[in-house]
Amino acid sequence: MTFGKSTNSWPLRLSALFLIWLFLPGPAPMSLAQLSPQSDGEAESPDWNVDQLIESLARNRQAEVRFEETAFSNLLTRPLKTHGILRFTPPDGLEKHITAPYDERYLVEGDRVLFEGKTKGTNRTLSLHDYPALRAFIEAFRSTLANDVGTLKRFYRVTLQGEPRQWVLMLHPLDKSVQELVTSIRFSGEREHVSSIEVLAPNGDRSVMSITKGAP
Amino acid sequence: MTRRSWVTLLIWCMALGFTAWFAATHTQIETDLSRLLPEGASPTERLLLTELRTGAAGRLILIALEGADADLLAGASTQLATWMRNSGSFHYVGNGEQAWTTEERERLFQNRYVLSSGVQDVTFTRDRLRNSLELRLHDLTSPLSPMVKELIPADPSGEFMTILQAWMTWTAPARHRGVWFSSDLRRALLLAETHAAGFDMESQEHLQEQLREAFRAVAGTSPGAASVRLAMTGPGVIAVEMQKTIQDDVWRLSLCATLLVTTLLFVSYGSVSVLALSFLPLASAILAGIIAVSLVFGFIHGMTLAFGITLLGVVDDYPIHLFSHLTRESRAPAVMKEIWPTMRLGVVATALGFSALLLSGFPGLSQLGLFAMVGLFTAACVTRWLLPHVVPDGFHTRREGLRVARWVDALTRARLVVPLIVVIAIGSFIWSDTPLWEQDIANLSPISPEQKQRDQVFRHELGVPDVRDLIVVEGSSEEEALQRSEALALALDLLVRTGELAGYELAARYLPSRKTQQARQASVPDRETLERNLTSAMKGLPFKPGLFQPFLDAAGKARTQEPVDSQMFQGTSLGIKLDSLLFMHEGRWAAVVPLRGVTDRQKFRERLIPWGTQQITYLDLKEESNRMVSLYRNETLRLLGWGVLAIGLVLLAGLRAPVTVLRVMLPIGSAIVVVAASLHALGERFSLFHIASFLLVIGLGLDYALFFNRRDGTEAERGRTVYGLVVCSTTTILVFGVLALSHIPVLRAIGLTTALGSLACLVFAALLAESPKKPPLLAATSLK
Repeated sequence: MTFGKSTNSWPLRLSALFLIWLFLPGPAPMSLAQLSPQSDGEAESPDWNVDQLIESLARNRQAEVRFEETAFSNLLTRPLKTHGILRFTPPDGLEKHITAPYDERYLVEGDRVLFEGKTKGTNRTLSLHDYPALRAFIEAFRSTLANDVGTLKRFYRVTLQGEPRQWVLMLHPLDKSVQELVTSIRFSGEREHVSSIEVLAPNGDRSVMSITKGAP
Repeated sequence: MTRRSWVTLLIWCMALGFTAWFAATHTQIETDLSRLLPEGASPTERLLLTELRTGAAGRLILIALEGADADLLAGASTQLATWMRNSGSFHYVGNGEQAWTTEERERLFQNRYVLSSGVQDVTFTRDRLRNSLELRLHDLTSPLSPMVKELIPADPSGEFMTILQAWMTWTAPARHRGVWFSSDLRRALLLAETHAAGFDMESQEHLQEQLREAFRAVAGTSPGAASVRLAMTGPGVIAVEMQKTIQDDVWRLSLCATLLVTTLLFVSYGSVSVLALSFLPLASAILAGIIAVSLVFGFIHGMTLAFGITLLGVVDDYPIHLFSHLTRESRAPAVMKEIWPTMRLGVVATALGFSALLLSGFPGLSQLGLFAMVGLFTAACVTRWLLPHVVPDGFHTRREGLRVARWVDALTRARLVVPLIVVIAIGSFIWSDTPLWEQDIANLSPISPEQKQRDQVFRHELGVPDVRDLIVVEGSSEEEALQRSEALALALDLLVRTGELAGYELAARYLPSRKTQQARQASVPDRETLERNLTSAMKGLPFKPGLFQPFLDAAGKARTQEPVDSQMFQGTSLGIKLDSLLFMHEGRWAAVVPLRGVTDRQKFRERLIPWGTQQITYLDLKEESNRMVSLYRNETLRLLGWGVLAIGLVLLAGLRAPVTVLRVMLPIGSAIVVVAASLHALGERFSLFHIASFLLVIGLGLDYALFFNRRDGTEAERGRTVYGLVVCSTTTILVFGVLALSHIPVLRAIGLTTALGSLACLVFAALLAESPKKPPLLAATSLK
């Protein structure tokens, strides 16, 4: 079919996938080997839990961080890299600004999402209400950064591995429509800093965003 | 009353009953407002009126569900929409679900190379392909990548996205749980287009009632949904509510007026049977009017009936004159014979006034004119030939009216007051800043401000603004109309760029002309060239080899495919849109181009002048409808002038004394000037309805003035005349005074004008009447 293998769920994918990738790298095939290694240190110490981690993340979050994103695609012969800046403006503003190799900005403000492509000369706004699954996704992101564990747990099964010094926070979507887009989101970090975010898609695509500490 | 008169009365009442039955069963009472509109002189005018009558814009219903939390509202919206889709009464029901079906997308995608405006001669050159491929690489790393990734192998130049973007002129409302919502999530929104025309009141009313019932069923079955409220707006909904408001008001006010008049007549004559008889001419007049109008026009409109009965209020004066002139000694037929010449003159002259309506060329007013004229003659005949024979023997008013007569006659000494007031009135016209005419018919509509606001809010939230400006592009074939509108679009795009125009809707945007489609097909190179260009463009880029095979196949197919026609959109929401943008009218094709945000209409009109020769017409609907109504107003005014002249001639023939004619006409003329000035001072702007009311005032005034100037012998006779006149005018003032209390602008205009006019006519007629030189009255009035 013209739309590839997932023609039937195309409208859903179109709407739902739209924003998942706002703050995440593009999809890429992923080997299973890469998925498993960090499952060490499963034992959670009783005084170390999700709430504490998220609270410390929120307390120490920076207004701006740099990122480098690697996107693998089965359409391509080699991965593609982009650089940029992530911004969080409490309580509900998020921005992903790709600065290289081209200039594009994705800005979430409450319910509104703004796309601004300097290179392509596009400028569009849409409402998160139009994309309920994505809204769930964005809310989860925001709640992680805004210390809102309640909201996070409404959308995801949250598991924490490791120890405060080095931890992995796994999010598995609870909602079926989100599950069709995303298998898991994996935040990994050291102490109160997130060092990378990986997203695994059901079709095996994967993307990795590594975050550089500190503002530029 | 003799036996014979009882029989006569019985026969007449049976005849009335039969006629009423006949009228009730055989008369088609229309409620479709558009039937009152004129046919239109030019084809464009007719097209506009057709659009107004049956157009898609008029068939929209905007629905909101509110009063509960968003999840409940979303559920209710889905249920209601399902019911509406299954009901078969709607062309289209939109609530956010099923925006595009997979199949529809698939069809669009397959036809992308003929539908996309991005397909040009350069699109598939090496350089342009290279550029496109680089952009696709960006897409793959951007957050948009999942959206476009699957399309890339078959559509590297991004034509599908170009189509979607070009078609996304309409910003859909926000969504929650898949259905449309207001941005604050307080209202779930639905948009529907009915099969029935917006002005087809009966169907609209029925449909809206069904919808409400369906809603109640929905709200009743789902738990917690009891608090959900349904609100609707749109032309059809507003028209139905408008009709209801008018009916309620008319009903309430008529009841009130009837009670008042009945009481007054009873107090005046103290006889129940006389009271009942006084309604006989009116009832006969109404029935005759209905029969005549349905015979001539084939139907009678509800509005004609309502306003016609109002106009026929004048006939209630005829029996009053008769009753007032009866004395203990006189016999009714003889009295009737005596006053008949005066009454007859009044009837003929008034009928001439109403004939102005008949000739107005506005179907609504023509019906009204015919109704009033036939009614007038019928009432006069009933009063002349029936009533005298059925009046109870020996009936006479107990009040002789002498005191009133003396008081009224005393007024003649103050006759200089009349020219004085008239001069002041004319002066107030000259020095006034208030516009004379109502230029905006919207101000006459009885829509409440809340309703107006609700309409605006819903329209804003659903993104369906009320269309005011549009361009009509005509052609002898669908293809010609499309080609012309494509040429026009280039000019409009320029205006959009300069900000003179915010945007426009165009059929050719969805369905390009065959010519354009063929040009696009021709710009796709043959497979060999395309493959060569692509391979060269891909050099150095990390796309997997062979990835674009689907693209090469699709491009090859596009070169030879059949151009897309309107069949492709049949049965889709886009198809409905196309039907309203491109249709056949009177054997020609018309493409309607609705415009948004025209900043300067005058300038815009000038910009389109060079296009005028190519059957491209710019219409400002608001201005156009106002202009049309003004035209009919002026036409009626002109006919009214002729009517007045004719009245003068008839009076001259009847009275044979120019001075008396002047005596009759002068009070009416003065009254009209003074009433017009008073209304003007009150801030009223004149419309067609005021003019129609002035017609009625002329009719009433003629009656008063003729009777005032009757040469009757005795003082007692004069007393009876004056008494009758006072009763007549009081009934009129009561009826129309009540109408003036209505909050519906049209009814208020009629009520205020007629009530004031009746009063002024009576007073002026009294002031200007021939002063009784004969001693009896003079002596009587000068008694200290």
